[in-house]
Amino acid sequence: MADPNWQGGHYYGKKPPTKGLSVARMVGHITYLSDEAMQEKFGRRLREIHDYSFTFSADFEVESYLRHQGLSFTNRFDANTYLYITRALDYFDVSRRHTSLIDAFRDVTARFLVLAFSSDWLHPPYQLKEIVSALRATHKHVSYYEVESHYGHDAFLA
Amino acid sequence: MRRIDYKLIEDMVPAGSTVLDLACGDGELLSQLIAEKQVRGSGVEISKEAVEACVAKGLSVFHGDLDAGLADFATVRMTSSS
Repeated sequence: MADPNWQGGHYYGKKPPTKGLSVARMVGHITYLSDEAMQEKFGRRLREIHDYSFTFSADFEVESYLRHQGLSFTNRFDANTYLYITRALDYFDVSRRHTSLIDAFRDVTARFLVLAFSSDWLHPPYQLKEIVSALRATHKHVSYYEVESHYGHDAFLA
Repeated sequence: MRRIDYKLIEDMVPAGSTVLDLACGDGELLSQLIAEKQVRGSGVEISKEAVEACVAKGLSVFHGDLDAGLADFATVRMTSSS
């Protein structure tokens, strides 16, 4: 949205807000990883150079990786779509029209298996355990399993 | 073959009660209690393989470390005492 090309969303047929979308994706991408995974994958490794260039160019491998992820994303994704989807995620709150999470699940009849990845920043185990607790409060059939992984949210791809 | 200690425990559990099996292992006792005593049962287990065995049996099981406390079970206590 900070990209002037965004034009309040009316950029179709004009220059799309590639820079804004690309930065948004770079930020997003970090949340799919984990501290440990990033350390292992990049650390402070430099990219095809032997010393710092002392400029703002992508000296570090992690920078060039994120820039690539951001830029390539703009070739396959629309900025407004990204905004709407992330906004829908922000607004999603299963307990909003209920007095509590327990109340929200009260009429559920399904059996639950809640799977957590230990290093997931987006769906951290403690939040998934809240779901488990809420379900258990009304004696729903629920199992919880925590997969030990240092791949963060992306663990589901690993 | 049925374990004798499980049979003894089964005799002590009133039918239809609510059972939380701490360190439930592969869920053998729980399944037995559900089948024989129609209990409402769930378990807590730290071992990955054992949790998988419980889920395979269709049990409600929580993968966790008892040394970390039972705070996640606070809501159960509240509702079952009411």
